[in-house]
Amino acid sequence: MAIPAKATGAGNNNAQNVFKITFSTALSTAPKIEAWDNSQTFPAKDAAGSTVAKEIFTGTDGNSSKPMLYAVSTTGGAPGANWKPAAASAGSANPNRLKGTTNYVTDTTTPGAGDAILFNLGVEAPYDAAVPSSSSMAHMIQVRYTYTGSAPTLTWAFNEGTEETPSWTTITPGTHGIRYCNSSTSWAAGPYKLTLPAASVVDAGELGITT
Amino acid sequence: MAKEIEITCRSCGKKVKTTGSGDFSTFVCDECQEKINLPAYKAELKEYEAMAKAKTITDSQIGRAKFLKDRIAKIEKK
Repeated sequence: MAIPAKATGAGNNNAQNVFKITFSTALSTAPKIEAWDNSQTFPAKDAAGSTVAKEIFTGTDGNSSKPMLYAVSTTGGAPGANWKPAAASAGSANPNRLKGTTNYVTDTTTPGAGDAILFNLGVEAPYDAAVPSSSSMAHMIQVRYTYTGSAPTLTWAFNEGTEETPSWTTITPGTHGIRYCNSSTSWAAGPYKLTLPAASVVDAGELGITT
Repeated sequence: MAKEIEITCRSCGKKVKTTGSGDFSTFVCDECQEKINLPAYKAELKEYEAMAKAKTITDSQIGRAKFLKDRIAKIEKK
């Protein structure tokens, strides 16, 4: 696995330009950002999500059994500071914790041909997460969309530039993946890790994409 | 304060209250999703039981195994 590159602004930060999905043809409804178990070995991924049984979705006693992943649609603007939702909302909400089609985010727009949606993503890990357990956090981010006519081609990207002047680098699903890391990670040298706290929870301060 | 609305599980038809917004047409309630998760819970528990037998299980994994046992019992009781 190659050295990951930092996704600018990713996590519980007031950043609009973090992750982008471009649709080659028009959609018929607003797309949804979901997360599911991944039963494959990274970087391989399941074709589609079906279960949310892993600890990243069930949570632990240490976080009152909450899904650990959270996301916000930023297509319409920056999410504001400290946008992480304290708890999951049933169904769709923006922002929301992510757990299959039980808790997810609907984008605020229905993209036309060539249009893109933007979102931000983070993880909050409790002190009692069952590490080292290689698969307890294995998940995939999925976008659910509908269309009439030609199926769109999707291009996923992350921002390596600045919030003001984004520089989008393409993400290839099944080849690249997300690393949830500590704040002040050295992206040139590593290590690329998230350290669990002695008590309570910790948010990944920075996210990177494997290249 | 956000307005509370009622949404419907597409699997069982149960009504659930939420303060969320967006498209609820694909919503599946916790109970229905837990039934789908059940085989995955059992498979993971089996892994921890094998680790316990081999004496390679960690404290946090023991905690997770207990969590899974409770979760499985709760789903099967319903």
